[in-house]
Amino acid sequence: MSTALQCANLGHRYRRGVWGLRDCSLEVPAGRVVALVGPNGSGKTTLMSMAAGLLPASTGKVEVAGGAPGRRLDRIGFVAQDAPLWPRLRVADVLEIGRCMNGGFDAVLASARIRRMGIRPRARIGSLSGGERAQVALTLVLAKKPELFLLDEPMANLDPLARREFLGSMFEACAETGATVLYSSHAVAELERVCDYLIVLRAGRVRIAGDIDELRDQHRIISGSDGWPGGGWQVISQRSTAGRTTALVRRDDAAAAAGPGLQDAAPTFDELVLGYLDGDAAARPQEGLA
Amino acid sequence: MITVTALCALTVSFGISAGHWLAGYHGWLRQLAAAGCPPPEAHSGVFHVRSAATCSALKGRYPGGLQAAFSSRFSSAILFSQDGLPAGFAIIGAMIGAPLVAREIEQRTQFTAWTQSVSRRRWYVSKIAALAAALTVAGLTAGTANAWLQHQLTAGDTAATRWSWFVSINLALAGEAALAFALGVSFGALLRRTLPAIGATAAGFIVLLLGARWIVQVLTPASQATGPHVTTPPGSWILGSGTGTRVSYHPPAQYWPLQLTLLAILLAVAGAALASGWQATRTRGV
Repeated sequence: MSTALQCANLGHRYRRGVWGLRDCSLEVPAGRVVALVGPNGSGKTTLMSMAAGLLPASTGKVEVAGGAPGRRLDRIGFVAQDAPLWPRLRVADVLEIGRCMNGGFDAVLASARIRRMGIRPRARIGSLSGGERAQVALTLVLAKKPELFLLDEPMANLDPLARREFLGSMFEACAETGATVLYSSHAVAELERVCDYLIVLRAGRVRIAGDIDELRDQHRIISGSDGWPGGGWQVISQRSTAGRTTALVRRDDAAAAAGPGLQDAAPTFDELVLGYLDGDAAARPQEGLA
Repeated sequence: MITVTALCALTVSFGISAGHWLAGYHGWLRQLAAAGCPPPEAHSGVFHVRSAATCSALKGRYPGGLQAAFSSRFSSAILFSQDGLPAGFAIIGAMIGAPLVAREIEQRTQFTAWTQSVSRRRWYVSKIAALAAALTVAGLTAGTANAWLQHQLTAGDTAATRWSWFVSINLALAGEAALAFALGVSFGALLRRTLPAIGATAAGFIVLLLGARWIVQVLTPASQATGPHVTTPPGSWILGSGTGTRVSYHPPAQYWPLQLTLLAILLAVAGAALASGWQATRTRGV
């Protein structure tokens, strides 16, 4: 299986000496829908910008479809936060720009989708709502038919119906063309429905990356009364309430019993993500088995 | 383009009205001769005055002599021709050049523009090339029109020196348009804000233009003419009358080489500015 996105020790240092991303090593297989989750300032936008060729690497390197992003621009579809578009241009003009600046741009698909959204082609971008503008930006990247979609919080402005429609479009694109989607978002709940690969970032570092089903197999949620856990457990994060401690643990030996007096269950997607978001930032990042 | 056309139209209208004024002046001279009155510059001599009243009335039409009367009547035209047109092109160049990169960054649309299938370098070059060429041609057109206006304004000895027009006609104006545009783009890419870039361009333009003119004069020194009766070749560009017995001038054959030198310097600086603008775009844009 080919690799859609590969990062080797990737890092970026901003001008003030702040590291936006550090020691990032990833190998995302092609055809996945990747959930990129992390708090604000965790490096999601930095990672996506580097994968799109907008930011240079301070350390390490990033490759899309086996080449540097700058040489793979025709295979990358990037939508930045807030879907920025030229406010004085008309929607039709923006699609025309897409057609002129991209070979293989499907203009018919683009105008059909715009019409289906109920957006007037003669409307100026500045007069559109945030959600409509997001739809225009998404149409732009969908019509480009890239191999890798990089979407930075694309649904922040969309209403629930639009969100469902958009996810449907993404699914179709992936199914038809085998494209990979990298999706950064805060909304963990809706990611669960569509995503099959997870990357959790915190403080500029990758906390966990891997196939969601495999990760769920490798972790357990275990809870017991206070005093537990002792040594011997690889605890990712834990939380104590009313005398009980609940912890997300990583377990290499899936068959090992948890022990008497302890409750043991496979983590839900939510619990997996929140466990990694919550834990000690100094913990060593774990690479999921691809 | 509308602005440039307006400027050219203004230039032409100034030139035509100057021509009319001069024709009127010559008509007045003929009237004086017909009435037997002494011509304005004469200080001595014998004249057959037919009517003293007519003479004093006629004389009052052009007080202060030819040059003073002309410059007071056409002061705005002279200002426009000497300083207004270069300043106009400086502002036009800055206002077209500065937003090219800066506005893209201010609006955050560089995230969209630079992630299409076109490389950032091709994006930059394409945006620059068409506009730079158009502005330079506009500058050349206006420069040619202004050269004609300058001729109208200085024909018949109506101005003491033509040198003050040197940086506002022909090739010089084309070079200035290119320079202002290039500085605008470069500062825009560096400062990432349109308005400060326009201000910086205006300041940089003045400094660089004066510097370029100084270099031209250093490279091609003026000739000197001395003597009790100072004569210079006809059509010379006189720099200043100095003390009256010594005059600096450029002979007419040097005119086009001087213009070409100035153009070369301005274009070289413009090229350097565009290159540094590219560096800023390449490394800092996001």
